[in-house]
Amino acid sequence: MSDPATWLTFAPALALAGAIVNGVFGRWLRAPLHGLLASAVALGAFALSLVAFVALLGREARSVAVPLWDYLRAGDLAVPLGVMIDPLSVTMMLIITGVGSLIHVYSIGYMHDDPGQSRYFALLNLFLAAMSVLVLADSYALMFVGWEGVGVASFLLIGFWYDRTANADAGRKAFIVNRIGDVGLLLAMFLMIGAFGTLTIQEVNAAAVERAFGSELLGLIGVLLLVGAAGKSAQIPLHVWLPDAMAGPTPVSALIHAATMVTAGVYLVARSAPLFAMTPFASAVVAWVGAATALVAALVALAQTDVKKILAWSTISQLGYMFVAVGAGAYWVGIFHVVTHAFFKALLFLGAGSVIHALHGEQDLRRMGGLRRLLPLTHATSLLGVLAIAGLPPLAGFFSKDAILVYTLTSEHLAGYGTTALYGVLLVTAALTAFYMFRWYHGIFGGASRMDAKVEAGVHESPAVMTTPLVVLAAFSAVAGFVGLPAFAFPNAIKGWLQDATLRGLVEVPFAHPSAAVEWTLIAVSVVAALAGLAVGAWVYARRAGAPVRRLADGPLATFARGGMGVDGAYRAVVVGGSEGTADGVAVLDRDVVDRGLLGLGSALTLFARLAAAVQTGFVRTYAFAMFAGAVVLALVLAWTGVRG
Amino acid sequence: MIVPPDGLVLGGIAPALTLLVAAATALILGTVRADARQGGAVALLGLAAAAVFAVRNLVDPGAHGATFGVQWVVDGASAGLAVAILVGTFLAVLLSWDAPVARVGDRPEFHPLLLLAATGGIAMVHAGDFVVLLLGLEILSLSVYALSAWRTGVREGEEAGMKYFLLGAFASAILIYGVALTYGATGAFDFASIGAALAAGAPGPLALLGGAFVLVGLGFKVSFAPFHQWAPDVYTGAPTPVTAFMSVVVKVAAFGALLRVASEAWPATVPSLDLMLAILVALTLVVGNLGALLQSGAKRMLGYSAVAHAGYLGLAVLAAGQGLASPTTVVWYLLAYTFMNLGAFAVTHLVMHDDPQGDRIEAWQGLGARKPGLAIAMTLFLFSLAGFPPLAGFFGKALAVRAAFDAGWSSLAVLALLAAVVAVVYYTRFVFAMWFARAPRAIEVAPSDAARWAVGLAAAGTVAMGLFPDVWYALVEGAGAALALVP
Repeated sequence: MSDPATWLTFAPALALAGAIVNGVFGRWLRAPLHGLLASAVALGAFALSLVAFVALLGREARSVAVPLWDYLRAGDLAVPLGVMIDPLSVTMMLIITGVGSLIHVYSIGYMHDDPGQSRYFALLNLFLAAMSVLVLADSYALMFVGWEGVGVASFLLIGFWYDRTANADAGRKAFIVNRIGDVGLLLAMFLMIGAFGTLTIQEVNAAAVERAFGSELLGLIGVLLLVGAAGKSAQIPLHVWLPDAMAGPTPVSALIHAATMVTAGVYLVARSAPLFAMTPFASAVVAWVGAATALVAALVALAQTDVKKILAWSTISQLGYMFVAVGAGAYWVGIFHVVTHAFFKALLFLGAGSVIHALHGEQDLRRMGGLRRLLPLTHATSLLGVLAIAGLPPLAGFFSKDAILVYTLTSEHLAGYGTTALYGVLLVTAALTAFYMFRWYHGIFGGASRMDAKVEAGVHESPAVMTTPLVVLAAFSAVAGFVGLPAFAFPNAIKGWLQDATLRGLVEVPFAHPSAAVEWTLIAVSVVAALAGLAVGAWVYARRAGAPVRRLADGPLATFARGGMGVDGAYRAVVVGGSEGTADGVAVLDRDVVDRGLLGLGSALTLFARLAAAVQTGFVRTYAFAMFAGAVVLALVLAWTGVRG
Repeated sequence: MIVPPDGLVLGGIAPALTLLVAAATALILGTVRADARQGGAVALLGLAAAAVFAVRNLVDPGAHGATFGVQWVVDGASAGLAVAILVGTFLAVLLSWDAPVARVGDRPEFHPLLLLAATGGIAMVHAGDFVVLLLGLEILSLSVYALSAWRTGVREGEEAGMKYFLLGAFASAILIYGVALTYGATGAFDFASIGAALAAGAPGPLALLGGAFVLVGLGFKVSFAPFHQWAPDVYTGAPTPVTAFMSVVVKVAAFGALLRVASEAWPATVPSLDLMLAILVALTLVVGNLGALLQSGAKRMLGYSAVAHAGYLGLAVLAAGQGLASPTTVVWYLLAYTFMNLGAFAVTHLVMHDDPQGDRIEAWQGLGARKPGLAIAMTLFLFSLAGFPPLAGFFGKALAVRAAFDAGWSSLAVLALLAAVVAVVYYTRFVFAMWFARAPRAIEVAPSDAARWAVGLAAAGTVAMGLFPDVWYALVEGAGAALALVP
């Protein structure tokens, strides 16, 4: 433990300790103490991440393995547990604990009058602990512990206000849909054990590159990993839980359902980069699932009227972007977008939270408007977030989004799987993103007020404990992109930092290298797309004062889109209806066959038990006789078999 | 300066010698000043010192090897089981620290008897021949007979002691008869020679009958059905700390002896001995689990549960005796069993307070709300006994069942799995009472910090062995648990 980088190993324990203190002793603490304690824990974990980051920066070999202990060793199956500290995990930890700390601090203000604060902060710290385990794990087995842990924390936080049925249902839905994804991940792990005999990530990767390029086994493992990733990262068709998850407190939406947990799927693919680099088929599935999700979610976002739901669908769409990036083989680009997205999407959610807080729980875009004067700081930071996600240079979102577009178009890894079509889909999505984010911004802050006079009179800017995180996040949303300038003409810091941590020098992923002129053209195209989206948005909504924000929120198509394009309805009809039908059938079977059989078996067992008790007379003579009889029976067994040997 | 005679390696017998010295010291001090705490303190010190020697044997068995010829065997299995016996005795002393049974001022013999019983147990697990085995068995048994009748003037207590003594004498007689027959057939007392003689040619009826009687005698001590009927009665009648002690220490010692006899004295070429053991195991699994089903007193339920666990341990012994599974399985299970079973009795002791009927299921109702710490510990112990992962009992049962599969006793393994399902019912009845039933009255538990320490240590052991199953397994396996198997 003399290496400062390895101190990061203690981050999960630190967060868990915070969770335990708040969870067990919280009821004896006074109101701001819960939040202060939890924030201190988060900041402590962030400090450990910074130490690890600085320690790794200054060295050549940037991968530090910290073995912990062997969970079990049975025959030839061994499950050693350990921590992997490398640029990839440290980057994720910086985001998780850094953005996490800001959101903890923000929560002190947001939750200040909630009676369940100790539970809230205990769960928030529990989430940090589980998420740290997820990204620090050096084996899929330990990663799965974190994977399930964040699922549980997410479930409990979505249903934090559990006395409302809708919230509890949303929590359950998130958990169940995630379980479907987990099955995929588990199956992938079983296959790994079967094929490679190990669950240690780097051993799996090393074994994968030994296999034939594009082998069916690797493709199957990749697709199963994608199923797991799609569940956690809300990709089609397992995306339905995320919009409902907005039932949780807004800071939770910002931390778990925008910045960190939902990016776990992207991280999973990036962690398994060598394996995916060996199987273009699975990579193409990843990319196309991502592209379809990006487009569909953007279309659905057009018609939403709830400020948080718009952001939720936007998150799904942006996660789709990241999936395309890691599918195309540009693993560092995917993580780069994870980083920038964490800043601007957390900023947007916290901005929305500030608005909701000021309006005492109002979330409907149709009853807002004109808030730019009343909430100046929230307005300014949110505007910056909107421009960042829309992809305007030189804000953070521009660089990561542009990198995704370029690498998708030039990917030779996906040659034959329609890179141009992927590029086209993403470009359309980029324009749509700019459009619906303008609608979001204008609906809240622009135009004239549509609020009740009573509500409007009570509106006040949020306290400093909430606005400070907004300012910090806005600053990062503005400048974070400079670590990843377009590599053809500028210095690019993050590529070298992440490239080795993902592919680990095991395998190369080929990309075409277009001329500088083409690169500049591509940049211009993506800027034009963003500007076009914003311009159309301005034309539709802001042309004249008081233009109906309802537009594009009426009519059959819009209704269809608002309902998530009928996916929920289809699930209800096919999956839920089908299960209910099956369940009714099974219930009959259960009642008439299984229950009766078990009851009969139970009575029979009881009868035997009574028989056994009846022999237990309490008299020594009975017992001695039983012993004697037993000895005689044994002798008879001998006489029957023994002498024959 | 005392020079030990040639061939006597003191290291091997050091754990037993230390306990003997501690027992004598406690006895002599007891005549000067009758104080139970004083005896207890001497016992704890003696046990700690003996544990140092036992662990030394475990870490480095070769250096302290066989001594007295081959009659006192030091290897991974014996040293590991000695550690289990010492752990069990240590926890039992803690448990009885404040108990009225030991505080009866004019009877300072309580702790010396505990130590002597442990000495006998250690002799049994190190035994390399029938002479040492019998000596150890009698030292152990006579001490435990006296201890189980400790509550004089209480009908159930005296009845328990008398019953145990009469049936124990009966069992010892059969065992000695079996040893005599074996000697008659093979001309040897030591296991290795007996095994070699039996493997040399088709054994005659004399040798086989001898084997059967030895099995009956040891089967009584480990409470195989149908030689188990004393167990629920004696467990209920004896003072709870004594029950806790005998439920683990006697079992460890007897299974240690059975393991060695089965693997060294009974060659794999004589399948009828294994068949007899298999029949007893099957019967034990059924009778133990069904018997526990209807019990409403914790001690009686745990008595039948002890019988049921003897079935699982028997599976592991059966497989290990044939050389088809590692004997480490048995050693691992017995330490896990020591922690969880002693822990369960320790909580029962605290809950019963002074009330002899205090272990009835009604007494457990609402414990979760009133005494959450004790209730959590008891839940851990019961879940572990039932075999829920990731607690110690799960790995014990899993190892035993797997050993049975490996050795080809698939039908027994399936029976054991089915029995484990039944077991969940009777253990969870008590868990349910603790957490989901309302307390009919205020709950008072015995005010004993030492006993709480015993509960805590046992709980820590149960959890730690479940979370880190490798540590103990590797230690025993690394010490060369592999017994000198005869083909």
